[in-house]
Amino acid sequence: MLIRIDPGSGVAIFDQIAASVRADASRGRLRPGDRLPAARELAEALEVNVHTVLRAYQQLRDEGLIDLRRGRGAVVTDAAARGSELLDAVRALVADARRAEVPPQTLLTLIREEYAA
Amino acid sequence: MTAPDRPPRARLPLSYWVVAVGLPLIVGAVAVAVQLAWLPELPDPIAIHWGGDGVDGFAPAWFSTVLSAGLSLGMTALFAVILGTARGSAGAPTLKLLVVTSLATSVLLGVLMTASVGIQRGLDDASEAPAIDGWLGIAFAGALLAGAVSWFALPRAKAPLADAAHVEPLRLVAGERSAWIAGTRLSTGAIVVVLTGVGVALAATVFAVIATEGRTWPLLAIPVFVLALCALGVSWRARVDARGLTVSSRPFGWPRVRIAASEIAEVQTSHVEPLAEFGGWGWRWAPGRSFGVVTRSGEAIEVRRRDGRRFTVTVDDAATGAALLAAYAASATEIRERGPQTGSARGNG
Repeated sequence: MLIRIDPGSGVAIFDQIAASVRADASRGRLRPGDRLPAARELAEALEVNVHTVLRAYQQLRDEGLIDLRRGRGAVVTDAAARGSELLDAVRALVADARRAEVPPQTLLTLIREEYAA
Repeated sequence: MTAPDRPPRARLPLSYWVVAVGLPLIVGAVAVAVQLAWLPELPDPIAIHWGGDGVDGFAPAWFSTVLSAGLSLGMTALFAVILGTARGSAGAPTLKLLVVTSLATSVLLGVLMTASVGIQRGLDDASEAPAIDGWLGIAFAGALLAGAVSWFALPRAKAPLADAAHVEPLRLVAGERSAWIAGTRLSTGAIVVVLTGVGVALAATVFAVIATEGRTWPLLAIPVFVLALCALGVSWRARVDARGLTVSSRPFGWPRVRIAASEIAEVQTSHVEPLAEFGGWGWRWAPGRSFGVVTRSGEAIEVRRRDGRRFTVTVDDAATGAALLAAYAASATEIRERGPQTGSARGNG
């Protein structure tokens, strides 16, 4: 699992950690049942405070992406698999848009209108 | 950026097959022929086992000949199957070692079984058979000699790293602190093999303890110790961060391998076959490959240190981990080459 943290980006570090986990889950790299590294270990690797990592994990738990269990640590839930199905749909959509020579901005506008409807 | 695919079956040169199968069959045939020729001169039954106080096992005269033939065919077939199903580079030292071992084993068995029959020629009673110790030494010496000669006669074993794939370092943003963490575990097949081996050792030790009415119970410590060591080698965690690569055993974190980013000269990915290239699974050493933590066949991160030593770790998504490690190694090299920044004395550039 790759966690990319850019301290200068203005985005809070725990947000970046959560975003990395979400990205890996939707890319299929993290599957339901996989265990995330222990918060202490990840904090040591990233050279951040362990509470920063814990906050990211709590955020992911609130989103339903992981389960925090005593003794077992952070375990990826089945909800992660749904993310990867979405990614497949996105890939197909982008491929269709490319074939139709629709630029990304137009596609994004269409998607936003769908959400609003 | 994909890791290399699983390689096809190794195409072994003809010389390997000659030494691993052809010569052992000849040795076996000669041993059987000689024993058959001596058959009329042997007592009936013949001695087949020597214990602490002389001969303590007997069998019909033809037993030894049949056993010789069976062992020769069986062992050679076993080696042939192992070599025939091997994947990866044909030059791997482990494969060459197997070939040479096949010949050495056949020489050992052939000489020993023929000698055990030969010393009983012309005897009326098998229990008068002399000790076999001297022939045991000769058989081992012959096996070692055959092994050594064939090792040097066969083509050189090459380090199978020609298929390692180049890794493009990840582009790091200034000040970026990224990490890559992955776990890896012995494949189920490997665990079965290891447990079977330790299980057999444990059963043999238990048998020995029972046979000596419990007096040798401290012997049990050995298979238990071996089992503990194996347990330490089952599950590993690999981590790439700004400081370098750390591979540690779960759950205790020890044994552990740490390679600092500044020590790394090159990072690649490769396909690794643990059995063929390292002779087994876990934390291992192999000639030409140096150390490695190899748990399953598949993609792996290959590191070459600045002093030439290599390290291999089999892990999923090796390409990403290798890319991050290459990036950190490159930036650590830059820092080292630039030297410590001492402020205004540096001038332009």
